[in-house]
Amino acid sequence: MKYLVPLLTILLVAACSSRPTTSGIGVEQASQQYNQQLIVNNPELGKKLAITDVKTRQTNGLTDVVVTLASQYKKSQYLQYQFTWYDADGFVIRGNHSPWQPITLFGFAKTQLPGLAPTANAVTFSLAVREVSTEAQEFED
Amino acid sequence: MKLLSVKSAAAVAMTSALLLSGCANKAVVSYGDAQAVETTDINFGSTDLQKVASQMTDSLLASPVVGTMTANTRPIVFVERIKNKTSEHIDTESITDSISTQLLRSGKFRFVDMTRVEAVREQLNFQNVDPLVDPNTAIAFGQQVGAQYMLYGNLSSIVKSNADKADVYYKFTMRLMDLKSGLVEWADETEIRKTREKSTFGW
Repeated sequence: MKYLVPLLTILLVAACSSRPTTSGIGVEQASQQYNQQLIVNNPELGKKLAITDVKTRQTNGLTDVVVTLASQYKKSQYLQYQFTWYDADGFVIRGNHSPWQPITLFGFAKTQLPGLAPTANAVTFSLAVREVSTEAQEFED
Repeated sequence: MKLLSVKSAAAVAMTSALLLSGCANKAVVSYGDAQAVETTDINFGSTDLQKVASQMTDSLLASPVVGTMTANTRPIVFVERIKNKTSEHIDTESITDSISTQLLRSGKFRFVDMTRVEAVREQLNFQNVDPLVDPNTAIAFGQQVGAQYMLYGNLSSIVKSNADKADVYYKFTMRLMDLKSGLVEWADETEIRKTREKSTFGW
């Protein structure tokens, strides 16, 4: 009986936690200088995931980026990533051009996340990586 | 069963009350991120639309052929349509809208809109025929420019399922044709696989 209260509390917390974890890891490029800054807002995910390389070049007059993402975890990870682009003055490029993209990263696998600037005046970027909420969904059939 | 002590009974009652109030079946309205990945079911969804549009635009803008094509000029493109060959109802115009918007925003292409030709004709007729309009300001017929390229594509799917698992595979193909020569100057495809499995710990 003395375990009932903690048990119920755990159930309460587990059953009602409908807000997914939305913090993750990322990389941000300081204006014009290519010294990337890694950001880990979610240490738990930061242990399972690493950003090992960032490459940029110009393709057809647009800034082209690949960020290498490496898994440090044996199981598959269901992730989403999003690039945000900024112009030379640090203003965000407006528009719905870079949505969150889903990606499955297999155990200890490495992959490159490609990003292409939406316009020629987009020169710097930031990238955010976070988990896709994998709560079980209920289906009728 | 022995009677519960007053203390534990109170604790149970309180926790139950919390449980009930916390999870009460109330409707809660909130704004979500329209660009976040959604995994509600395996049908074609917003994430798929955004992924397809963004990958196709990036591929087109980064392709070397397009680099040459857009080096000194902004080619004029018309979007034919995306044929929906899947078993679902998908608004493919929404996909082409996203792609043409992103291409326009890149500043490398110009578009003519074939879906509004009738509306334009009606307006020009009004301007040129109706005595209400000053003839000096009326836009004359025969001044629009012709498209040089045609953008079109296909969306197909393979769906498989058994009692525990459902799997859907989408393939989206896009092509850019030079209308003068009939040559396909650029083509690319993107694939999406979505799987639904029964959760082991579902309740």
